[in-house]
Amino acid sequence: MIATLLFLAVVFSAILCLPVLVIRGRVEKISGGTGEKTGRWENFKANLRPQIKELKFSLKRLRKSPLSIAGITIITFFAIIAVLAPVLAPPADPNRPYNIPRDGFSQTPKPPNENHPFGTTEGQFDIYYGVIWGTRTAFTVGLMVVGASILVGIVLGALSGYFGGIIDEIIMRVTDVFFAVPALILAMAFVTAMGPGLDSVMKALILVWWPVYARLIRGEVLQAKQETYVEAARAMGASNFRIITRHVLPNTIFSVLVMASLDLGAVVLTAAGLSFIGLGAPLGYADWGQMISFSRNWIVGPPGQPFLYWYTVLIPGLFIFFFVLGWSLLGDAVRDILDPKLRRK
Amino acid sequence: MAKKSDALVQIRDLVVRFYTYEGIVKALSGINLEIQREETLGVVGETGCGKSVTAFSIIALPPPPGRIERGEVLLNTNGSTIDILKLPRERLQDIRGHKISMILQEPSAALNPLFTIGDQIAEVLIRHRSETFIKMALEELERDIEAAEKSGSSFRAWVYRTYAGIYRSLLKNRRSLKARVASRIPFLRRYRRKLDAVLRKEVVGLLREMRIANPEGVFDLYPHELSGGMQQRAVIAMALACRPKLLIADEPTTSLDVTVQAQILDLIRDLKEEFGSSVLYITHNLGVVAEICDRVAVMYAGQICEVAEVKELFKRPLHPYTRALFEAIPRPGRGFVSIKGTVPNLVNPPPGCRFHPRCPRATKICSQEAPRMVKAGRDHLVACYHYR
Amino acid sequence: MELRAYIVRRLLLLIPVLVGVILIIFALLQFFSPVQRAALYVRSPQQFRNLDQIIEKYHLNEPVYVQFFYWISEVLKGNLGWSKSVNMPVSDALLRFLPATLELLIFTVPLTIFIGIKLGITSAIHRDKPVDHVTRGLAIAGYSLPAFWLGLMLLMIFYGFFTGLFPPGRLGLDAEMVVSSASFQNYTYIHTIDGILNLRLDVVLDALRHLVLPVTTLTVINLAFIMRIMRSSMLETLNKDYIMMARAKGLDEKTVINKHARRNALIPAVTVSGYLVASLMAGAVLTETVFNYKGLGWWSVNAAVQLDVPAVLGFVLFIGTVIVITNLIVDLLYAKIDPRIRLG
Repeated sequence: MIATLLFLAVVFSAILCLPVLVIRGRVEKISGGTGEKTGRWENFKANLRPQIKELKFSLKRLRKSPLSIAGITIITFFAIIAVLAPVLAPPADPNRPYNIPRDGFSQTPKPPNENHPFGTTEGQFDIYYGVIWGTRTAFTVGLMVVGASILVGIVLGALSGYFGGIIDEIIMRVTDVFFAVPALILAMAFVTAMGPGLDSVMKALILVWWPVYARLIRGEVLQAKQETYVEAARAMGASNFRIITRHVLPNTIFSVLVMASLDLGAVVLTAAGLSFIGLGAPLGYADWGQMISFSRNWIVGPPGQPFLYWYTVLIPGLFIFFFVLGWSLLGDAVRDILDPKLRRK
Repeated sequence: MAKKSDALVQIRDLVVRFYTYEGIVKALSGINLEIQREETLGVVGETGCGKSVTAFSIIALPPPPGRIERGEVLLNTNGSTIDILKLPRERLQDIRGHKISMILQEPSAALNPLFTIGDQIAEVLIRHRSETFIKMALEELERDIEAAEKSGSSFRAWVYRTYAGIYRSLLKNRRSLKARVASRIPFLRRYRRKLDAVLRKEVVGLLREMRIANPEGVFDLYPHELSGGMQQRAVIAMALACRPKLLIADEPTTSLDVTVQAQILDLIRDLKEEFGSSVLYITHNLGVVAEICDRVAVMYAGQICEVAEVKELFKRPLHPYTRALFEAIPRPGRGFVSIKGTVPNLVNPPPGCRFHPRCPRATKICSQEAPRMVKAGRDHLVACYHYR
Repeated sequence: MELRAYIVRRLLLLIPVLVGVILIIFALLQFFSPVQRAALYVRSPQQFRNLDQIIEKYHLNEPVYVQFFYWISEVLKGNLGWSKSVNMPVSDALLRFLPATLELLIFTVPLTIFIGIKLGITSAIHRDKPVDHVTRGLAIAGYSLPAFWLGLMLLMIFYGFFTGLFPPGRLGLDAEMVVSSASFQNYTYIHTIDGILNLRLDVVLDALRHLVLPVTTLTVINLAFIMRIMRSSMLETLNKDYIMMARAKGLDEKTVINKHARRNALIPAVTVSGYLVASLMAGAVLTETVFNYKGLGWWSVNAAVQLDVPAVLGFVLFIGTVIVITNLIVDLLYAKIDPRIRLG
């Protein structure tokens, strides 16, 4: 799982650094001499300066906005839990850390006690263990789905927007089809076809989510295409690839980031929904959605003690809620900050 | 300070600041200006010198994030003097569109795209002169009632009587309950038709005065269906509908092409004569000023440099900035002459006279204290220590 | 004339999208064995015994394009297969469960839209003041809630704690008896409407009681969409010159906001409504499940868990059609409101 996260981190940085690598490579090849090389590199940095200035401005406003600070705090909190999961809740079987330990097989949940800090849910699954490792599951699912969707979306969206014509038509029709059905429902259909399981859920969600980014990138590319600097670059003989990667894509980063941040929450919510229904993680896997499904029979306690089993539903739910809230706050705050119309008031 | 005069509007010591992210912009720092009756006063200056802000502040509508910090805007009409800036909201709204109205630079932006031209002009009429029109509608209704009774259709007479009742209640109270209820009931809603017809006649007449061909047709058009020139005429119609004493025109012809510009200027000039209004004409174009203004004020960086009669100003501009402006007018045979330096950042404006960093005559005192307006001739005011 | 041509054109464009949806579904189908796929062509339980015949008849063992042809012809005939989870043909199931979901939406959509618009406008007018922050915070919180969790919590409180106040399901036992009795005419199968038409107030009240929690759940979660877009479009509108002009005309602030600003600000919100319907459908899936509210959402989940393939696919097809038509209606509405838009 760590490997996956590392992989994704590398991929993200690669996308961001791609322009640099392309420039360097080209420069090396074309100029061949030291003089020109410095010129190009200086030019590149100079071009970047206003972008850096804008970035600093954005970060400053980010720091000042209480909602975004709240969001970042929440996310950091969860990240720490995810990273420290093996320490906070040592797995019984190191090869299968996502299996929640069961303390017996009784159906009735037991309240928090010293063995089980958050109590146990139906089937005696330890809630504490479940929510801790569930954090990892959430991050995995979220990052993988969003990451993969962005990758596919960037490629298809850039192609679609930049080249237009029949490629654009085809890709747009395809995204139209995907947009005709809500995410959860389409994912449900995919998972039914592929067989339940967390893998299916992730694959289904990627299939459902890439059109969002394809559309987004395409829109940005279409806008950027009309900018004069693209015309200028083309007049100077830059190849299509270079134009796309160096000029167009870096300007789309911001809106992609906003969307990704909001989507992370949405993806996790949808995945939790699928698990809740029973189409997601297998029984006993540390997944927040599944844990809430365990609480369904226990939301109303015996007469006189209606909240007896509160911990089965409240605790996993709070984890989902705050996780999604953190990302939503962050995404919302970033979007407000980056919205050029609302920016400088 | 308290100079009694019979000017229509006196702006005294107006200070306006903009609270932006980058700092507090001191847009206007103590403006003093007078607008006489039935005169056209031009305000010229570069972009950002505060002319529009001044205009908007007269009706207490500083564009956000601006705020009027202090000052007075005195309106002398009907024998009394009131300070616009101190008025409560309702009275302010009574004055706007009625005693003082405004036209903006972009006519297409000034008109609400979702409503017809006629609708938007009628809005002003019904807001400020509702009594007149309701009475007219009532009169016609009475005639209709008589006619209906004579021809024996008592039902119709009864319906008209009900409508008349609604109008009477409106006369007493603009927000009458009867009217509001009636607007909601599908059949009763028709009571408005008479009033709408009356208003329509008036608006069409107004549009005709604006020299719009086919005013009947234009009434039902939407803003985007008109050309820029027609849109501006519609906006002018809106502004002059209630015969205001002062018309504030914020660069109304800047976005129009030259032929249309000339027509609009003529229109404004003629209407001003006809209605006896004053016009505050804001522009950066000295040519326009020469054509239609009686007096002109020159502004720079939130301060007024010079105020004089137009001919006088053109003959002997006194303030160094004014002189530089005239120098900068392109003339064939010579290259482009521009004023040295750049417009100051108003977050940290230069102390004293704000023009001093670019002024060829600046001395030490110019950077210490802003010069006051002094009389430099008949009807010629200048704010400079070295204007001679 | 133009309008009619536009509608026709859009409806024609609907077809490729539906074809696309169908293709995706069909692609999914290939994951299943012929035996499972046979269920798609079955109309009654007896036919199950003749699976081999069915596989023969619809060439389920043959190449993909052959199958597609036969399958399409079946779909066009209205035969969407047999839903084993509820023991009836899929098309019947769609008709049977539709009223329940409709009833849910009839109350949720107006509520969400009105509250969302009102909150958005208020938020924009009092920008950056406490009201704004609180409203936005609550809206985001609402959006971050898992629909199923909110439902469960609401049940815990209003059904568990306030025993039986707002129960799950569609109708209580008594009302159920009334509705299924011979004297009760089910015109629409939407209980609130039928209750009124039959002059049975008790049915209406009972249905409403059961609707409170599901409607609340769906509304809370979807408020954020409308509110956010209303707020941002209102902010943009308030900056426009014609608003300044309206003020300069002497109109009072209420008129400026309600007459001039609101209508303009609503335009982007209308375009979002299409998306709102989609979100509501997805939300309904989870909400109906939690509340045991037997509508389309409940049926689809029930089917998915039991791997009732025809049901799930029929549901997807249905939803796809609904959403495409909704988008068309939204576009028409948009053109009607904004005189600048000329269709075509």
